[in-house]
Amino acid sequence: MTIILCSTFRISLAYAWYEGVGLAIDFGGDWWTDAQGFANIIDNHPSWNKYFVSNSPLPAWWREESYGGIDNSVADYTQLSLMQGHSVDLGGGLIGVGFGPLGYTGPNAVRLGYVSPDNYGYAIWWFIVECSVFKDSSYPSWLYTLTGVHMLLGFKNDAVICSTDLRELANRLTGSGGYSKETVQNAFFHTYVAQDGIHNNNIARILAENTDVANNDKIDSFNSQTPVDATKIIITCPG
Amino acid sequence: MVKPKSLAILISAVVIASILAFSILSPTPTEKERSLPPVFKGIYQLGIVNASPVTVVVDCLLPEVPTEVTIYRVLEPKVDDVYAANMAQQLGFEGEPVPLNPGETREIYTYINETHRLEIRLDGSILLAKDTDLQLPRSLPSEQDCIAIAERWLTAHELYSENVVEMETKPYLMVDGNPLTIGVTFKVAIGGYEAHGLGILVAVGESGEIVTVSMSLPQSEAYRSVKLKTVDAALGILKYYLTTPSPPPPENLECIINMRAFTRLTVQNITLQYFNNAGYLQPVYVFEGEAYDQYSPNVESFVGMVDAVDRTV
Repeated sequence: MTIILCSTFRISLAYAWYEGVGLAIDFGGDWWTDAQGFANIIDNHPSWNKYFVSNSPLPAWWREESYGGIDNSVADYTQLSLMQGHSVDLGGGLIGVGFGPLGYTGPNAVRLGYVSPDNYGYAIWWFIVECSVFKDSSYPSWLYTLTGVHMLLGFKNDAVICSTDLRELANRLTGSGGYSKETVQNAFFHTYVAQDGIHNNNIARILAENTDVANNDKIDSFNSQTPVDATKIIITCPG
Repeated sequence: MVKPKSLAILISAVVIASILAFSILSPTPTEKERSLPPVFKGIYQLGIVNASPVTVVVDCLLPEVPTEVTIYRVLEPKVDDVYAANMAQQLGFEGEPVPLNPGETREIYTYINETHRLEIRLDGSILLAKDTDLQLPRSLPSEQDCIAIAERWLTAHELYSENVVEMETKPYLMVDGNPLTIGVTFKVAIGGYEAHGLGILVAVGESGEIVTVSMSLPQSEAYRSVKLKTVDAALGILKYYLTTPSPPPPENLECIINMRAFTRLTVQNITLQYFNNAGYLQPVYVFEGEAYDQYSPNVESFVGMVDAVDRTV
């Protein structure tokens, strides 16, 4: 089990933001290199700090305390979290986020952001690099997770990925490696949808609190407490 | 009478001669043959755990395919400062690319103008993109107009490919089910077969604005021929991937599918195409059809690819 906890202090410093990266335990090799690379590139961006990078993350890290989780000290303590693994068919058309043999979580137990049930949370974006979590029969249940978190970024269908995609995503988010810094939305779509023979069948989907965060959020430019209401938007590429 | 010593020499000579003859007639694999990578090397189908088995119905004729086809080797261009600057100028971008931060390695050349960014990858592929504005357009051009607009733009920028064999339109970026842009895909062929996913995508927005261009048109040369699996064998592999409850391990993938969480697949089209990866264009069988799931409101488009190379010979 490899886990790197880079901050043990739960103190919210002005302009100190945290990222956390989880890679399901049944992945390895090049995929672990890619996950670590993602965290390192974000970490090198001013004001960002690595909070956790783990190849054995647990579903409890994203679950709300009232559902038996510990998200306040892990996923909801970080502004940006990312989970890559195999999703889980929970039946009835619902797809959960999988953590390999360490379990899964469905949307009923996840509430991220400052309006979560305990009114605690700093989550701004959750990247879910897993298959079909946001397919048509599944994404409506995940909308309830948006309790202050600006966007959940995932896929409508089964995603095909390269072992360099996470580092490309990080480069796009931060404007490094020759990339120019993009909005969070564009960075995600441009990484995972391309006419390149590999990503062309992917259908990426973002659940967002509103068009303002989707149009404008960048890694160093976001409103930490965007207004939360019952209306969300669903962005799909390609449609 | 042959003496035992002479007999031993004779037998040894025959054995050596046989070995020499065998080695000449059946050479060991050449460097070329050994170096052919798995078709899906370095890419992964993430997959779903616990998905129900899919019932597969084939509602089309199995295609006639040759026993052997040619594999092509991709010729990567030398993308450097000069190449990138010339391409940028061709597409109307002036100035210098986005600089590197100290200690960074260049992954891409990016140019910015007032409205768009241009990315030139080190493999020569291109992304031209405008920052997304999710405001719904008052009107979008018709699909035919989008094709004409895209063709005009590509021709004006000398990007239209002679290898285009088919065009397809569908919504590209959607918000709450409403299209913001229409994507026109220009598919290309190599050696008489479609190159899966390669070509040009042009997304057209309000008033015919070019919002996104994604282009990958690698140059290639014939490398060697390979024997093909039968279509039946490939169909068997597809069915296996659609019925096992756990995602396959990332090593030695033989099949890639664009969805798994559904219950019934009607295969409507099977074709042989080329798949570009790891420096080669290798043949794959492409299965297309309709995916039905009792919990989803819509029938979805299914695409599955199976390695077509018979790697047992």
